[in-house]
Amino acid sequence: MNLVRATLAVLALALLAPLRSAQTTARPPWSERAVELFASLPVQDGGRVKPLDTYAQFRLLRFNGRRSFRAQDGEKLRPTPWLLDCLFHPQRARAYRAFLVRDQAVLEALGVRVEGRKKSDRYSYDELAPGRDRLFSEGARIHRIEEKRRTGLESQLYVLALNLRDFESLIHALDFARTTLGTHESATLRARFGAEALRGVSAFLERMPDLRANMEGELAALGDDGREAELLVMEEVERELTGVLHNALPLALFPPPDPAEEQWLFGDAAADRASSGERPEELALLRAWESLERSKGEAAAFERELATLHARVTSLAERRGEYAKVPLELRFYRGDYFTRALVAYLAAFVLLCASWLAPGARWLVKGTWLLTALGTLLVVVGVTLRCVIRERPPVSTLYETILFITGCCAIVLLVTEWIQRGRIALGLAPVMGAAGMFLSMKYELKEAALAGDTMPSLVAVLDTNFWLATHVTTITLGYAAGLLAAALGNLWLIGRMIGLKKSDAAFYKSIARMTYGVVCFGLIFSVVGTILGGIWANYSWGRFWGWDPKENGALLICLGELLILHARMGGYVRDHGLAVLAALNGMTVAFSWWHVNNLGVGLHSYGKTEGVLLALYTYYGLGLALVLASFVWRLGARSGGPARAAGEPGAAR
Amino acid sequence: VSVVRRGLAVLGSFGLACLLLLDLFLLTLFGTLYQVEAGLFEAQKRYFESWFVVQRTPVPLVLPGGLLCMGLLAVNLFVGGLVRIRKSARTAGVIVVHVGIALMLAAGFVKLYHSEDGHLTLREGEQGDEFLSHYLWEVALWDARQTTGVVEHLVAHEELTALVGGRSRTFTSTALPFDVELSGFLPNCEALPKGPMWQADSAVVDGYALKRLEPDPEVERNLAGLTIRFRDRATGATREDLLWGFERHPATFESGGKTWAASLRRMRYSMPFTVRLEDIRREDHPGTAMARSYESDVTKIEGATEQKIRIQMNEPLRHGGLVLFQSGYNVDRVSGREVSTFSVVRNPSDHWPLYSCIVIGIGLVLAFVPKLVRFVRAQEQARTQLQGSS
Repeated sequence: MNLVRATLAVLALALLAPLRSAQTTARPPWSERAVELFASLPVQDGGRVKPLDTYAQFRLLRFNGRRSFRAQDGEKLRPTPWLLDCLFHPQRARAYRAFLVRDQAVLEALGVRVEGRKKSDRYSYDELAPGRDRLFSEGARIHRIEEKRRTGLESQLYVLALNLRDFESLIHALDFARTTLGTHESATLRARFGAEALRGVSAFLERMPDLRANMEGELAALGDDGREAELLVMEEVERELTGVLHNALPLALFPPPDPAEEQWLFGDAAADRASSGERPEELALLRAWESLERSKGEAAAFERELATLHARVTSLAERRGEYAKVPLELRFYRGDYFTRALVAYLAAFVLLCASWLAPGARWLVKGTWLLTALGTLLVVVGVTLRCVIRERPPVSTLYETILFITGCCAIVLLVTEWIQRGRIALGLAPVMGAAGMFLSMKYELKEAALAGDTMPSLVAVLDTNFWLATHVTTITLGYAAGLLAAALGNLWLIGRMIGLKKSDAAFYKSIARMTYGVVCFGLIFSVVGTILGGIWANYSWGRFWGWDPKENGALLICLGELLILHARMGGYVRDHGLAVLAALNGMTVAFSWWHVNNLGVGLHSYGKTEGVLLALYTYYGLGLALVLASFVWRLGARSGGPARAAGEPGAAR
Repeated sequence: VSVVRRGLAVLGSFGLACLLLLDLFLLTLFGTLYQVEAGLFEAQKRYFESWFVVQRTPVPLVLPGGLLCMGLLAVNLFVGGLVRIRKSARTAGVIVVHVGIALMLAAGFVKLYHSEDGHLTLREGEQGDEFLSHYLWEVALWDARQTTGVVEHLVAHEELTALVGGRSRTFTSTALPFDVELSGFLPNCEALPKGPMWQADSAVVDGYALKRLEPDPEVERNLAGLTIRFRDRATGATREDLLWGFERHPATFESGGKTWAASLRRMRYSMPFTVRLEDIRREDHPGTAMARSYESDVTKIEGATEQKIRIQMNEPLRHGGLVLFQSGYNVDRVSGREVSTFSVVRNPSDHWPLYSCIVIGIGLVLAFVPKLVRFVRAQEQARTQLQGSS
């Protein structure tokens, strides 16, 4: 969202009177068909056309931290029904505890007190409303502070202000359909619109050309008193009309009939065009929204009106060639491939643990195989569908690197297991798969807050499928291999220290061989990917190498892996040294993958992402502790301590 | 002979390779983190373009700097990876990789010492045939009344930077009737009316003086300054003035019946052709303020030949040893005209990294794929033996 626009909106909304609080209102449940039709309505958001369900999902994720929640009456609300409530039953939506506040200090700063809540909890709009004015003025103040200089509390206040502002724009979106215009109080308008107050705005907009052409003459024909009275009524009508149209449908739901016009229209712009008398499509769509609002009390009528609106919008979008991917995207999110993959990996891990307890049960190993392969297949299908929807190679955002790396690691491990059958790679695959899917879910929330959804438009220099397909894919494969080698190295170290399979030297030899192989595999992709990145930079900015932190991160991985290979070839390290260096190289990958983006300098700086640095330092700390512990263990083994007696390598040499 | 042989053995050893790789690893890591506090330019100078680095750790760590490390690495690679390495089918891939890396190091060396880069900024309708350095300065002297065929006398950046810390030097040319003494080069400064509350870092001229500022981490933002003293060789008349990078009007001096101008400005490089900006367009992703593309339509003028060309992101103009990249878009607040900025680079090793990438890629495949094949075969054999024995 344009920040200037965001500020103006915060300021503008701060001037509005706070909404009246109200009790939760009942409504008939949304029918499946209505939800389906509404979910698949196309909307232009973040520079692309997507299903309304995607918009609702990520908006709710940003507000709530989750994609679903339970209302106080026990109904489980998913994104599309929640959005339907926001638009059609705003009083009800205001009572939903849909706003995540991570720290009660935020509420204290706003002077809001809600008893009986946890430090991090969810609140309804009605509960937050008493602090609304202060929140918006704080939001406007914090907006002027550079992002990296904001305190944690300020960042949270700012996010909450944006969320509340967006929510208010949603619950006011159909005010234009609910409003009544006092046209019956003016003789001139009564002659056109009848003796009743006019409900909605479309009829008035339709007659605007006529009003523009004739009103002046008709008013001139009246006496002074009559004209004065007419003008007073008209001013009142105009004020009401302007107010409701200002908030009308803050979503780009109106595809322009002219394909040359790229930008879809928001409600206010559609109304503006509808009033020209020359844009029947926009007028028809506004009318359809009004009919939909009026029919909300009756499920069958609502479905019928929604189907009409859906048909109109989709036919316009289809004529523009912008609808084809919408049903696919809907199916993609409904498929929830990555959550299912997580479940499959976790189930595989459970079977794996069981197989350790019952080594003879072959079905447990086969089950682990099957579930891991299923999880990997789900990741591959999910990533492929994303590529089709975006018409992009698999990796163009940080979120996508997680999916891609997880998929690649799992595939390499399964192939390795297929070749080696040592159950080492098979043991690691579900662990890495589950960790990757878990990380992707955590980061999805960040990307939802930063970019609106996980398929954002790309800045001009990244808008090149050739370099995304070559450099980005290759370097990401290099990351995957580096992490995989680190996982194997850590497995070796932990296994040795805790005495896992301590009499099975071949087991550890096998891990060491795999580690070495994966480092070699990783080196190919890291070196080629790094150089391709330089070539891209050379062809885009005229310099092959600029010591940018992200470039340096990639170089660090290459140097780390070259060091491992040279140290191994020179005989300076054996299996323990290899495992240690591979584990350390995992930290280098983490540094390159995540840390450099959080340094606040360079071309790949995305600002500090909350929680990322803490997670990284934890990983570095644990990793270094493990490496140090392995040296202590090794010293013990060499000096003939318990390790020697247990047949550890100190004893073997 | 044995000493030479032993020396070569050390220079080409795995041990030296490991130490140098570790050194470069540490330099890269420290250099990356140092950018947070000091910016890219300073980090580059301190870690990657130096002979030695003293790293501020609890126990100060002295490391070979980037120049020394990469120089030794090149020697190590040449001696160990190309000359002394056993030549066989098994090592063919590794040798090819080393050739590729040597080529890339050579590309880096050529770029470091033989390239020029800067920018050319044009409003729509304007044309230009020279580009400006991002951070190098020069002092130019010329006959201020001459409008055509202007001859400029230049003092180069390296000579100016030697004048930091209040040092001065006199520059003479037989083509000029006067000498100039330049002194006290300040890499980043501000010209201010001299008041009692601050110490001037230059001479005070007409109530103005230069105030030293901390160098900006974004080196392009620095505005240099120095003091100039003209001395007429015939009359002995002198005049002192300040030169500041932000100043639009040159300092002037009357000598030999002419008015001479002096200016401190970004170093300029001539181009063998002229570029006229016809039109620049910025397109956003629909409904957002995020740019989807920047395109500049330019006319390349070379003698009497004119050619229409489009420069856009990822599609630069390559001609006459120069490459022009689309790098900026702006709107001139005064004229309302759109402005396009092109990064301009002259790099003789422009395509070498691509060639080295291809060579390294081939080498890595040659080195590792046979290993993988051998490994898979060995696993199959082991499995077959296991099945046979069971």
